[in-house]
This record gives sequence, C-alpha cells and structure tokens, in this order.
Amino acid sequence: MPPRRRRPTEPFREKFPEPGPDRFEGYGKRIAVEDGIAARSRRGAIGESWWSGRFLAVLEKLGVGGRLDRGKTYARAGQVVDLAIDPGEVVATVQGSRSEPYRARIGITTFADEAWEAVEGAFAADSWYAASLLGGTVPDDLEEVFARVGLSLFPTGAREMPMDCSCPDWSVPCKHLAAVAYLVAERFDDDPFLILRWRGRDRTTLLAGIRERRDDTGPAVTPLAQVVDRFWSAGGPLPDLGRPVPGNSEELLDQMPPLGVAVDGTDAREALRPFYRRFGL
Amino acid sequence: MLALHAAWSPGRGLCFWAEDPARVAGGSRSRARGARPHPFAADHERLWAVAAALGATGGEGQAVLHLPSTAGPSGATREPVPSDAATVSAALAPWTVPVLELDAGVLLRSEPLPGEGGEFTVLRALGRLAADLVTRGRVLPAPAPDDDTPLGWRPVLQGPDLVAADAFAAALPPAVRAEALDGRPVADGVGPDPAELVTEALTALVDAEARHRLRSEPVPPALLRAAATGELEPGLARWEVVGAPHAGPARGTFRLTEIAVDDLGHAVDGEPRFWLEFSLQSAQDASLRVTAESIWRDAGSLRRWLDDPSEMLLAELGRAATIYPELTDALRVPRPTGMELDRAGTHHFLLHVAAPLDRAGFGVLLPSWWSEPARLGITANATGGAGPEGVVALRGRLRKEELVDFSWKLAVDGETLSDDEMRALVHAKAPLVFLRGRWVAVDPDRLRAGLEFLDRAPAEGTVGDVLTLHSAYHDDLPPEWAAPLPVEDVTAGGSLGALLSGAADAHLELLDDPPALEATLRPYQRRGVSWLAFLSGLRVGGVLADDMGLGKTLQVLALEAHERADPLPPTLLVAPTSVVGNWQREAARFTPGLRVLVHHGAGRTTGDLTAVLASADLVVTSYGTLTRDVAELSRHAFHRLVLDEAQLVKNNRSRAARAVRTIDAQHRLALTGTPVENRLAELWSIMDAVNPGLLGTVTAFRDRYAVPIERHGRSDVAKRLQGAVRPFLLRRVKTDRSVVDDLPDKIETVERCGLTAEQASLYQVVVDEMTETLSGLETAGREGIERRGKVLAALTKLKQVCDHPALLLHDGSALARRSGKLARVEEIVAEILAAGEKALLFTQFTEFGDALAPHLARRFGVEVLWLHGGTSRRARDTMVEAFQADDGSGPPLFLLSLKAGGTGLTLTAAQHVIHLDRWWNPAVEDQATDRAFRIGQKRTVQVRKLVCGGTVEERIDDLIEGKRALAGQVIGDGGDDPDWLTGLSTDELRRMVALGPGASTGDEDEVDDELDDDDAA
Repeated sequence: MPPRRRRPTEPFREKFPEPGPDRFEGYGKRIAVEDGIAARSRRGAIGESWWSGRFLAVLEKLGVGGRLDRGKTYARAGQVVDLAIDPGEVVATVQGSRSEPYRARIGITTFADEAWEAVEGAFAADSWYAASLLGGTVPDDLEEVFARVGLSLFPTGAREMPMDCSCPDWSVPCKHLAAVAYLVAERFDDDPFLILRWRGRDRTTLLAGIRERRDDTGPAVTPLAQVVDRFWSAGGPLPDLGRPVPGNSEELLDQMPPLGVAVDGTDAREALRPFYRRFGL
Repeated sequence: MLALHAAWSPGRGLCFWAEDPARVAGGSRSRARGARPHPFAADHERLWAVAAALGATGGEGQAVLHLPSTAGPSGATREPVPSDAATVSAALAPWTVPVLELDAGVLLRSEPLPGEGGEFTVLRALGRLAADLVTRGRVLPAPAPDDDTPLGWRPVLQGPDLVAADAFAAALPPAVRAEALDGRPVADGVGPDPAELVTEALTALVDAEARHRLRSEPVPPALLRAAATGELEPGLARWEVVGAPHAGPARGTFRLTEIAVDDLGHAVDGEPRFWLEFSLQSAQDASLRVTAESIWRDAGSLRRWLDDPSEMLLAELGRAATIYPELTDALRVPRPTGMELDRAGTHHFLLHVAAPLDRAGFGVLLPSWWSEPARLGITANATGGAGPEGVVALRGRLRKEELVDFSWKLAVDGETLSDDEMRALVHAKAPLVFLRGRWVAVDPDRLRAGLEFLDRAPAEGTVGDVLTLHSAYHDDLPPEWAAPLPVEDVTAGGSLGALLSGAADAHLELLDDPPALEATLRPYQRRGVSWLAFLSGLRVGGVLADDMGLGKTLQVLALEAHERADPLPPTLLVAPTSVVGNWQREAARFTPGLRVLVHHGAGRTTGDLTAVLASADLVVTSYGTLTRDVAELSRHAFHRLVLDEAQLVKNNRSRAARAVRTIDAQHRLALTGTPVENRLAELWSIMDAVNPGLLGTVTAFRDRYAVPIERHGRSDVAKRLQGAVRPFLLRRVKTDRSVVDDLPDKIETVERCGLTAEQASLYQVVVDEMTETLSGLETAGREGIERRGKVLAALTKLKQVCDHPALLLHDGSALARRSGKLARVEEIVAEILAAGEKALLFTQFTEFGDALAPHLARRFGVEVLWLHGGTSRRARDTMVEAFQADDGSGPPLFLLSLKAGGTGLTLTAAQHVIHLDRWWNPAVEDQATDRAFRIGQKRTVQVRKLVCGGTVEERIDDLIEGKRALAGQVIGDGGDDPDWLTGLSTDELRRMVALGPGASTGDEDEVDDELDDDDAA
C-alpha cells in the first residue's frame, strides 16, 4: 500500500474511505465527453514503445492496479478533455462524474541548462541520437548520454514525479491521473522528443543547440590544406547545364505580388515586364 | 606563355593573376599583410597585356593567396610550387601576388585564352549557368551596387538550379577560394566557404549578364526614380520571400558506388570497397537530389528547398536505421555523409537491405551492373565414351546406352564459370565476386549446395542420361542426377552436342541420297533425313514439324529407304483417313522398292496379321483403324511408328492417343505442319507420344510450363521449354534462310483423297448408268454428237461426286463429313490459317462454291470471298482489294470459279493455291494458279491439286502428268473440250472411270472424327 497523502490544496474536501467497487458506483456515471482525447489502443496494454513503458512502469510500481485499469478505461473512452506536455509538467483536464472536470497534473524534475548543453554536445558529436529521435525512436543508448552527466532520463520513482488531481479520490494516482499517464505514454510513442521537452528541452531549442555545437566540432568546409593535391582543377563533375530550354521568361515575374509603387500609371512590376521579355529573346 | 589564374575574392570579385612558368620574377616586391611576394607572379603590366585580349577592364591590386609551396628544411616554406607541377608533398603558404580586379562579365563574353587554368573552366561554366538563368527570367531586381544604373539583378535559385549551384560549390577548384580571409589565421588554411563564393560569383555574373542584355533597353524614368529613391525597396523585400515554391518533402536516398580509387587517387587493389552515399531526394522532382555532403556544407541556400535539410536528413537516416541497423555506426559522427562497405557488407546491402528500404519509401540507387541476385546454376558437359574420337563423332550410329564422362560446372546467370572463376567464388569472403566485368552476388546457401553437388555428381552416364538431363524437368530426375540448382545447360561435342543445341540439322554429317529413292532430295530435306536417321540410331523419338509443302512425306520415305538396306520389321504409319491413299501413292512413286500394305478400310485383313506384316515394309493405317485393331497391332513389334498430322491427336485421353501408346516400336516419329512449339497442349501430346515421359505427366507439365507461360507470360519458362524440346523437334519454315534458297518459286503437289462410302456408292451408280447408256447407244448405232454429250455429262457427274455427293444430288444438304476431299480441304485450310497465310481455292462447279463458301466460313470463323460468273464487276473489284489489303488484314480465303476467276486478276496475297477439282486441260489450271504467282509475289507459292484416288480424277491426273502412253493426246490444242476423252472407246472409257482399289473408302462411319473423341465418360 503506497503512502496516502492528503491534498493540501483542498483541505475541506469530503473524506471518504478507500472506495470499494460497489461503493464506487456511488460516484455516479462518468459524463461523456465530445471530442475528448481517446487512447489509440482499444485493448490490452497502452504504450507500445520501450520508452513509454519505462515511464508507465513508475506508475505501475505504485501498486494501484484497479485505478490503473479504470484509468485505462477513461483514457479509451476519451474522458480527457485536453492535455499539454510542457517542461516540468503534464497538465490535463479530465471529465469525471461531476459536472466540473478535474484538473490533473504530473510533474517532473527538469534538467539544468548546463546538463542540457552537455547533452547537446554529445548529440552534436554523434548524429545517431538526433537521427534516431528524428526518425521517431528513442535510441537504446540514449540513457547513457544522460547517465554520463549524472542524470536519469526516466524518473526513477514516484518521488521524482509528483502527481495531483482535483478529484475527491485519495489515491495517487487516481483513475484520472492514470488516464492522463496512458495518453502521455501514447504521445511519447509518437514523438520521443516530448520526453525531452517534459525534462526541460523542447525540440526546436534542442536541435538549434545541436546545430550550434556541431559547428564547433570542426569546419564543414574542406580545409584548403587537405586539397593541395588538386589545387588548380575542379574537384568534381560540373553540372550538365544542357542547352537552355526556351520557355516563358516572364514566369517568375508572374508569380510576384505587385511592388506597390505606381510607375506611369501601373504597378512598377509591369514596368519591369519589358526587361523580362528581353531576357527571353 | 603565362599560366593564367583566377581567384574569387569575397567583396572584390574576380581577381586575375598569372605565373610565369619560366620563373621570371616580375611581380611586385611589396608585401600584403605580411605575406612574401610571389617570386614568379606576373606584374600588372603583363597582366594588362593579357586582359586586353579578353576585352576586360578593372582595377589593379594585390592579393594574398594560400598556394601550394615546397616545405623548407625546418618546416619553413621556400617557394610556391608551379601550378603545372605535382603538388602531392606540398604545404600551403601565403604569397602576395599582383592581381587585376576584373568585371565578372569578362567570363561571359570572351573566348578562352591559351594558358587558362582549371579555375577558368569552372568559372566560365558558372557564367553559362548565370546566362541560362537570365534567359529563363530566373532573376529578380536587387538593390543596385552603384548609382549609374540603379537597377541590379540577382539570381533566384530553386530546384535543379539550386542543385547545380551546389555542384559548382563542390567542384570549385581550391585555387578560386585561395585568398586569405581577414581575421583568419593564415595557418588555418580553410579559405572562404565555397558555397558562399559560388553564390556571390553567380550573383555578380547574373548582374553583369542581365545588365548587358538590357544595355539598349529604355528604362522608364519613373522606375529609375523609384529605384533611386528607395521607394521600391519594401516591395522588393517582399519578393525576397515570395514565389519560391518548395520542392516539397524529401526522402532519404542511398546510392551505392564502387570505390575505384582510394583517397590518394591510387587504384584500389586487394579487397574491393564500396561507398553508400546518403542524400535527400525531392519527392516531387526525382532529379533533385542533394548529397549529405552538400547538406552539411550548405550555407543556407538549400533551406529555400527544405525547411531544415540537415534535420530532415538525420530523420530519414534514423528511420532507415530501424530497417538497416548497420547504419547506426555510420551515424556516430557529427556529419554523416555515407558509409563504407566491404564485400560482405555490400553483399548484405544488395541482397537484404536495398529492397526493404525501397519498400519503406527510401530511394535506393544501385550501380548499373546490379540487377538482382545472380542466378546460380549448374552445367554439365559430356565427353569421351567409346571410339577414338569419342562418342559424338560416330555417324548416325550413336546409341542411347553408350557411356560418356560428365564434367559439372557452376554457372552464374547462365554463364559457365571457368575453374579460376569458380575458385574465386569459393574463396571470396562474401559471395560477391567480380565476374566478366561486373559484380555479381550469389546466395551463399545455394552456392554451398551447388559445390556439394559438384563433389557427388555422377562422373559417368549414358547418352540417354545426357538427353534426360537436358530435357527432363528437374523433379523428374533420379536422385543422383537431381542437382540442387537448376541445370542451366547440358553440352556435348560433335553430333550429340549439335543435337542438344538444336543445331543438329546444320551440323550433322549428311547422308547420301538412298539409292532406293527415286527422287533427288533438296539440301534441307537431306539435312532433315540425316537428323531423322541420327535420332533413329539413338532410338530417340522425334517430331518433324516442317512447314507444309516442304516434303515431310518424302523425308520419311527417304529415311525408310536408307534404313531398309538391312532387313527390318515393318514401319507402322498412322495417318488421317484422307491421306492414307496419298501415302500409298507417294511411296509407290518415290520408293517403289518398299512393300506397302494399306491396312485400312472394310477389305483389310482381320485376325492374325503376322503373315501380312512379314511381307511388308510400310504398313499404312488410319487413326480410326488403329483404334479398332489396336489389340492385334499392339501384339507385333514394329521398327518405327510414324504419326502423320500428329497435331490431330491432341486429346491425350482419346482412344486414338491411347492406342498410339500401346504400339511396340523401336523408334517413334511424329509429323506435323503446325507451329506446335507454340501450342503447349499439342506439344505435350506429341512429345509424349514419341518420347513417353520426357516432359512428365500432363498435370505436371501444366503446372511447370503451360500455366506460367500462357497465364503469366513467363518468357524465361518458355525459353526453358524450348530448350528442353529442342533436340527432338525439327521445324523449318519456308522463310528460313537455310530453306528459302533451296525452294523453287512454286511447289506443285497432287494430293490424293479418299472417297466416303456415300461417294463411292454414288460414283458406282454413275459409272453403271454411263456404261449402260453407252452400250444402248452403241447397240442403237447412235454414236457421234449424242454419245459425246452423254460421255461429257457422265464425266462431269463423276467429278462432282469426287467433290461432294451433294453436288450430284442437288439437294442442298449439309456438307460436313460426307466427302473425303472436303475433309482434306479442311485439314489444309486449317494449316494455312494456323500459319496466318492466305489461299485461293478454285473449283469448276459454281454450285459447289455456293455451298463451300458458307461452309468454310462457318467451320473456321473467317470471311470467305466467293467469286463466280454471276459476281458483278464492282463486287469483284471490292473482293480483290480486300484480299490484297497491304496490312494482310483481309479475308484469308478466296474461293473462285475456274472460269470467272482464272484470268486477269492479281491475287499475290495468297501463298497457297488449291485446285479442288481437275480440269481436263492443265493450261487452264496453270492460268488460274498464276493469279497468285505473278509479279509482286515474293514468297514461294504452294499449289495443291486435289484428286480422289482410284477414280477418273486420278487417271486423268496420271495422263496429264505425262506418265502414261496417252500423254501426247493431252497436250493437244489446249482447248477446254476433252476430245481425246470423248473419243475413247466404251471399253477404254470404262477402264478410265472404273472405281479402283485405291479409292480407299474409309470405314462406314469414318472421316477422322475419332481423333478427338473423349470417351472418358
């Protein structure tokens, strides 16, 4: 039995004993949601990849089996109204049996900028990580990159991952949090960059950082000193230009918007037209 | 002569300088930025002399260039290495050279000068790209670099132009970017970014070219004003970003090439290596492919095509790595551009990676030598055996049982490997070997299986084994011969080899014409007989499938005459009823020494045939009789079984087909005139009849050959089948080179047909009537005109009966199955139509034509033209035109009455002429024949004259052919009136018309419809 916490934010909430299945019915039926976020998985496990599995394992270790199953049902039924994965937290709105939806949040410790810079440096030196992530997969050895700077990519336990929900259930996670977690797992399946975003670095920043540090790894241009042996001549085949294809020399001009300046009564663009006609002659 | 050089200086543009190969110091003594003066660079004065020849203007200056230089003792450089000397061991050092800063336009509008370096080649080519961009209007106004002409121009690089510019950046000679950059340590030696330099140079060139073309174009003053005041700038700024359609998403593409030279330019020896180059290819325009190397080098220009090319590249590589995990290692660098593969890696990529990548949507570009995994097979060669020259040289006496040595080899893609090549394959670390100028990959498991088989394969076998191995399907072979790989080829030397290769008729030793043969064989016939004799000696069945008219009958008779110098059991010849009589007569004519027994018809010997067979060389029977008498006939041993018109026995479950298989003969031979190799069901039936079991069961044959060839259009399977039957099938067509020269322009044959029972009895009735009438007239003393009329009437009636009973009865009854002649006509027409050829059919009886035309049209489902005396002139012309249609599309059969169609027409579209009945005067027939045989006829015309055996027709024919004493009378006045006939005495006439034994009436019910009966029910 995991330690139960009272939520300090809602001190006046009615207290119920741990609800059994029969009494659970007393909460009434969940209110159906239109256009809710429904899990893709219709049966069995949710979360196909090993990395979303690592994330869900933290929840499963808490041993609240029944709630996880009900959360799964919620996730499949589309009870989650909205969900955002941001640096440091997942925030979601879940429709339960009460008219007012609950707010659920799964927090995470973000990594410091220095740590991310070290990770970006490692990514820049070894394109495999970025290639694999961009290709939609978390590379097997990604955790090692974080381990080298003393970090763990996945939370090691619930302590690193504070969860709370505005519902009356004392259990953590409640079925609402569980539903959110399952949907997050599917998001991770689809876009492994979201794990990194949750940990504090969004995709754009990360890739820009990698680019910047890649340039530090050396010049992209072949140094002259390396091509002394073919110094005076072409270093490869010249493109075959063929014969110029006679075509419409005004095609590009036609695609351009007006210049917004009148010349002799028409837009300046039309004043340029004779020049383009001349080019094609 | 100076060596001319060019550098592109960021900011200054084209810098022209030169070195004096004679190493005469001329350059300025000044130092720029501390770099020593180049010791033999040309000074400004000498540079101007050259620039004047280029028509160039510009300013003077100095530039510091990093140039290859000799390394001094302590690493200090001594002097520049001349550009025409080897620079392998050189280092870079900065030198100050005098330069002329020239207008970029000089690269556009001057002829190359002697002495120009490789820099000029590339820059002038870049100039051509610039001019091309201007011509296509791929330029936009740019803020002017000077005040004289406020309108400047810049290139718009999209799609293929972008790729071209990129290729220039990759190809840019280092010398062009050799200027030392401000702020860079000289020792760095990186030089300006080539991509930036190319963009800058291209912009300068486009600007120069566009201005040049507009030099006489008036510019509206208001436009000039707007440009000068900067009013245009906001609009032009919008143009910077608009109108650059993206080429859309790109896909990762992998290109495999062989690394021919190593990094130092040395040819690679030892282990081959391959390079798998990474690139991105536009999904919309496959010609747009940018290498990973360009992407990493890219200064931003590619981003106009793709949002972020480097990340797209990485994403694609990451995706590909899930299919091709080996990729991972190549990605563990900052800028992956490709991966090197050794022989094993290349083999793996080609066989197991390329296709999955392609299926997953990646581009895969493989070397042109690569098509697919090489086909591994086995070949066998038979040598040695009995006799000093080995088996194969023995003329016509080779036996199936003779022993030969086998040597087995591996073959790759059908080519037998030499021992060296086989060794190379065995010793290769991976089964990717360089063979005959290309790389081939073989499946290692199959290679191992093949090599194991080579170890245990039989080293000796019989000639029969050679043939079986060559032609039988792999699964049907006995285990010790069943190779784990397809047997690609089986070869042998000499005549056996010629037989296997299908060139037997060209290479076999030719037999002399048998003395007992009363004919001279044409050369191709002699080759055919030699082939038949060779097969006969081997006791291997054969199919002689020569085009109709090439003399299959004669070749078979010659074979018999050749072999029957020694006593032999008789040969059983089975033919359709309609040609039984023909065989008998042809044998009598060409091989009178052969004792021919016609075992056919109601009068044939029944019961034990031992006695009659003992005194016969050739027993001719019909398929119907064979079916009926099979119990007796299968008790006797025959020398040979010959199946004439064997394609008729295509239903292998028919009684005739089964009867054929029970006959005991040492040798089996089938004759057919149809292109049997294209009709698989027929081919199997015929082959199985002459070489039982060779092609497997009919079910197996359907699965192995018929379905793949006919339903799936598998040409490889068709080729394999052709190879399998090749040794046993000889087919020459009239258009063959080897035959055509031997052929006369016109082949005339007389074909004998039998009479049906109905015809025979009607014939007898007419003969009896005539005899009676003539006797009556004679008794009454009324001869002369009246007698002559009666004789002519009777002769006409007899000829009508020979054609068809319905002609005499005038009852308009159905034609089918009542006339032996019609049956033969149908057979001939079927062959002609099968060959896609056309025929003229002549008859003297309009009534016959009226019935025959619709009958043939129905029977064969083709249009039959019918021209007779009642046909209008216009209809006649239309028919001729349709028949002669240039594209050969017209009706294939043209029936004409001898009188109406015998003269005047040109009908050269026909290759066949059939005379359905004989006219008294051959000249009339010849005239008719000439309709087809006229100027414009380029092929051999086959003329057939149909004659009913044992009737007046045959006797008249004998007379016409000049074989009898009365011949002189035939060649009379050439008129139509057969006076010579009517003038005969009644006795002579009676002999003339009497129904002879050769009338060969069939059994009561028999017009060969037994051939296709299906009594399976």
